[in-house]
Amino acid sequence: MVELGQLESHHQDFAARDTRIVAVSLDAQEDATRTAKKFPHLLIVSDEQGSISGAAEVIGPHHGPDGKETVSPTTILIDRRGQVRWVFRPERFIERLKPEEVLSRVDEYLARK
Amino acid sequence: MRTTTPPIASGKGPGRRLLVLGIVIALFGLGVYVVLAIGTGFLHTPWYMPVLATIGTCLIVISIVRRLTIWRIVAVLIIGLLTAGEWWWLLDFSRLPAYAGPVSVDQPFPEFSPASLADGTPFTRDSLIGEKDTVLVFFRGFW
Repeated sequence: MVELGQLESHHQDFAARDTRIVAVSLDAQEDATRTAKKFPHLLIVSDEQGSISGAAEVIGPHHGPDGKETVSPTTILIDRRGQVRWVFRPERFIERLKPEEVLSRVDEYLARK
Repeated sequence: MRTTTPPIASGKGPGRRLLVLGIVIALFGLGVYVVLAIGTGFLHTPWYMPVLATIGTCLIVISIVRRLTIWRIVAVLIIGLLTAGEWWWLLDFSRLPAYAGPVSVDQPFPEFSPASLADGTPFTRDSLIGEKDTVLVFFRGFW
């Protein structure tokens, strides 16, 4: 959840661009609630049934330390009309985008609009 | 006829500094990664880790060439395994397949059955449409 903390700390930068962060995991509702308390400026989604993750096909191939399925870190920029504008997946699950890199992609999209 | 076996010496002797240096260097890379990733949350690809472990293993091998001891053999086996494990982790295990799912640029996000926000509010594909753009981040969970 390191990346969520970094995104949370840049929430004003995203808000200034009329952009919100929606963080999705396969966590149960109670875990999502705990996550939301830690990161109050992010929208935390409990995708326990894997509906969003399954639709986006981001589940696996690795598993969590508890042996359960988990998602591959993936970042998707979606415009306000629901159109996908950018899809990013790191080469390794140990890598994450820095908030500055995400903001840079948002800026690129906004410049093209 | 009398035969002799080459003596296996104790831990002290020529090359001992190389042995210690090799162990320290190999563990240093691992330590740096643990501190950066867990301590500061800097998630990155730590190429320095297997590289340093490889250098450490080489130093231990050189120390064995200088003088063969049981402890040096044990050290090279342990550090060698650590090195191999680090290379495998970085080059194979941690790799993600390139994204090949249905989400495509300039296309709508695929339809999905409702999930729920932390407060229990349903989250549907229509929730992606509104007054703001959305950065959708799939993360690996609370653990």
